[in-house]
Amino acid sequence: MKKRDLIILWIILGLLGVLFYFLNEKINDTLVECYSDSDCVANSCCHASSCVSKSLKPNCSDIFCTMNCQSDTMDCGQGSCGCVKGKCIVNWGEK
Amino acid sequence: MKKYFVIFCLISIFGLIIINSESYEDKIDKKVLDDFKNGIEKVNVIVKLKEPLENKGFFVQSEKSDKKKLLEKNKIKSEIINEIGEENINHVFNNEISLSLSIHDLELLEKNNNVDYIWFDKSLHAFLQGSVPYVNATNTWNVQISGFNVTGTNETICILDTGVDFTHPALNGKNLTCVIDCFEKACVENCSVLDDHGHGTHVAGIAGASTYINGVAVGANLIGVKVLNYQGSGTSTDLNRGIDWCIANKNAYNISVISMSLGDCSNHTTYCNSDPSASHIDNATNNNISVIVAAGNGNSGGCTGITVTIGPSAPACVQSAVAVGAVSDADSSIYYQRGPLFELFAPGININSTKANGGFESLSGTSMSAPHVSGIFALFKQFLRLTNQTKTNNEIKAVINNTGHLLDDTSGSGYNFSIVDIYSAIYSLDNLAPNVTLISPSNSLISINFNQTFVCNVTDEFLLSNLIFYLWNSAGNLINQTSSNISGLVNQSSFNVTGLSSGIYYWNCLGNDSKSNSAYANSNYTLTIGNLSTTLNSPINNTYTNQNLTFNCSGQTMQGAELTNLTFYLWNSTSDLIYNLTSNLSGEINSTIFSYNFTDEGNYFWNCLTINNQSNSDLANENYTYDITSPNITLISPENSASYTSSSQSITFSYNVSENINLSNCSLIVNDAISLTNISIVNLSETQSFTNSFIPGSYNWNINCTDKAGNINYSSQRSFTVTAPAVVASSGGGGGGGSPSVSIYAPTSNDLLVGYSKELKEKEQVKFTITGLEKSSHTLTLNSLKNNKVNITIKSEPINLLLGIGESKKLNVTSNEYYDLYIKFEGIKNNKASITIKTIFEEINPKIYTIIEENKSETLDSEKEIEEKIEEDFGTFDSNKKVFYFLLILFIIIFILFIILNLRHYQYNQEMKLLKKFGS
Repeated sequence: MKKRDLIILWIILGLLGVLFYFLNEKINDTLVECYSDSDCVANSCCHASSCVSKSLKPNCSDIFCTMNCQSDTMDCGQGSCGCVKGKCIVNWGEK
Repeated sequence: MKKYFVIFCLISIFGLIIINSESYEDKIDKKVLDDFKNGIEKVNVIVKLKEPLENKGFFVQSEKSDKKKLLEKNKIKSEIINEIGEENINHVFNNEISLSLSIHDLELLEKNNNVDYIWFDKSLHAFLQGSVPYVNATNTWNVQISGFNVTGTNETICILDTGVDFTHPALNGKNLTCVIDCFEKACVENCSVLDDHGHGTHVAGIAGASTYINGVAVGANLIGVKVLNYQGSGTSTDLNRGIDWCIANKNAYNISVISMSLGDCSNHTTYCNSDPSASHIDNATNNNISVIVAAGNGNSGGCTGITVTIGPSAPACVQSAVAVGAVSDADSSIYYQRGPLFELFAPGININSTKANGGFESLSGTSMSAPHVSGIFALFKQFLRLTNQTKTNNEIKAVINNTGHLLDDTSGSGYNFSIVDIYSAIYSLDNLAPNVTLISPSNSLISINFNQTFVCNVTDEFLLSNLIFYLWNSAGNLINQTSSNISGLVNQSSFNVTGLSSGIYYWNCLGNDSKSNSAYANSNYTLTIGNLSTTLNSPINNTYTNQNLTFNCSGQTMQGAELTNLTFYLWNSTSDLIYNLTSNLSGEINSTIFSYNFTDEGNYFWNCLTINNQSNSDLANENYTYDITSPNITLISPENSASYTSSSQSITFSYNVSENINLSNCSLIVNDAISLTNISIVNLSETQSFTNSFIPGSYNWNINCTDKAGNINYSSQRSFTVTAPAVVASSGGGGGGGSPSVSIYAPTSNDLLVGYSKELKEKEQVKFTITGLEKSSHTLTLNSLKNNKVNITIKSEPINLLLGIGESKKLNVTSNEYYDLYIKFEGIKNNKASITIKTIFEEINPKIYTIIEENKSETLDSEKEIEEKIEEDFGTFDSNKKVFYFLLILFIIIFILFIILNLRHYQYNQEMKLLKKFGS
């Protein structure tokens, strides 16, 4: 391989690296959903299985749900919302 | 540095390979392995097969054609069946095989690339078998009052939920209506709505399933009211509409309980009587409808910050509602929301009940507790009705609360609660006295035996306590009283009394139950102890005859005395003595026969008087009817030689019958064979009729009538003919000639093109011709119209359809590739089904056609179901996955290229260094 080709390859990889770095920064900025557990809420009024930032909290006023403990949801203390590394996640297994 | 980079890249590649490779644990359910580890030789499993795929390019895998796929799937199945052995196969599904396998079989399947996963075939719990006895419902069903068992019969529970799948075998026939759909609209009965979530079906099974499994109120009716959507959520508006519908239809369907396994995300320490649903719940209870509501599950779904011991959610917190908390029927441990407000507790953990679309499933939550209590309220209300008791909603709550089992939650919420026990609840209200029957000696018996055994029978709904025998003499003085302690629900006791003297005695028994309810038999029995008794042996009392019979009397006197004579007396209906004859007798026991030739018909009385040598006498009386006249029959209609034109003609045969003394029955004789018989003839002269249907043919008919004495008479014979109609032209037309009750309609092809609607009675037919790809004639017959559903048969295919109101169906009667007929059941008018049929020309989706071919034995009710099945069977291509694999492979190629280039560059540098070294 010619030296010129190597340089081009390195430049492409470098550009990709820079691009990835900025994209990652931007993604990280947009993905900071929370700073503490209290910033996170369930993503739906009934039988939620994931969590979202409080700003995306669904309007559950005057909503009734079935009162069964649905599996793979946070029903009946199967899980709760928490904040880990800026993201709202479900802490499974809490009873 | 570059070496490390190369090593890193290789590790990454290997890592990716490892990550993407399957371990056996990814393929086999841990429970299967555990069972083998525990020494079990054969384990029941369900083997899920992979979808057959083929490579079409380097990156992309695509699906095979549907037919190829089916063929390959069948091939894979047969290979597995051959490997495992047919004897080990339990069932072959579309994508799974249920089988019993050994560890050796497991190894084979684990290596089989066509096997996606091996599930443990879990055994299901006995359905509701734990929780229903736990609330003592099974014992309650055995309580019988006035011939009715306390099972909830004639009580109706409104299930306000996600709908109910009443096609489930355990719920079929339990519903008084189709599902009442109140979600986001005014409530309307909709037979096409079942349960798009499944929760309502599970709840309904707990409350009142009665086949395969038994719910709490096994005899109660159910109405499914849909107030929650397919996700299991709804609003107060939906809920209130549902409650109001149940109140408005209370009388029409005997609605006495509303069951609501729903709630919001809240805690209440005080009654929430300002809740949007409170006034509606109050209104229901004011209408004697108990409203049972799940207390809530704490931190569920969107709920956060709920402390389960603080109190129930809404609307369980409404004061007039009955809040229901959950307890485990396994260990009586308490779960979910409870607190200071009134709450009853019922099983709600791992309750196995009905699953929408068939089968059963186990669910937990206060949702499962509430229908237990709903069923209990239905049982309780039936008990109140049968025992003529009335109680307010609060009184019922109090009784059930006070008679339940203590649930100590002082360490949790700080309160004690009550686990419901329906048997104890109704037992506490037992106001029913035992039922006493005097068995022997029979009433008015005359006996010469001075030692007597008196037998009484006593039954009680709950628990007997004792039975007391009383014997009085003719002066009313009590001469014997004997008490016997008894228990159980049924008892028969004997009381021996010796040394009785001649005379008249009265006796009775008094039964007592454990609630101190007591009762005698309806009336005292009389026993005459004497020196002489007379028995009329034959004919039996109230004999009707058309022949002269002999009369047999016998007499018996006490030991030491002797019979002297026996006199037979015969009296007419005006009490004139028309005959008597005395016959001399001897011995202690003897009998004699008397004869009389009857000439006049009428009712007679006869008796015999026995006298012994101590001048004692005894008399017995019985009835006798002599009748030799046959009933008189006059035919009214149809006239002789009547004719009808119909393929199935209903004819009413009218006649008058009269008789001088009594009538027994009349029969319609058609073509010399009994066709119908009427045994409910009350008057001596009345006009009656028979109605029957006849296919085309010639018939003769007459009527015969019989009286109780066996006199029979036949009417004159008449005839009629039924002729098959020429097909009746149709479009706006009604029936054919005369007044046929069953008609055949024949719409034209043009009628069918624009859509032909007709109101059809049962058995009526529509004959039509389809001129699609092939011209063919067909007959649509309305077989039955029941429960808002029509059963239709279309021949010559034949195709059988069951449609609910508003339901339609596309059929392919002439081609496998095109739908050519559309049928819709529009509704019911004047007890007739309004049916629309229309010819169409609509291509069948090839996939649907394949499914139709594949599932010839299955009944797919709608195109929607077929589409769903396609999705289920074939899945959808995961384009995201394709892109991911494409990028991954591209990334790997770039890395490999990069490594190769760098290696070459490294080699080049080394060579250059060597050159420089040697060059210098």
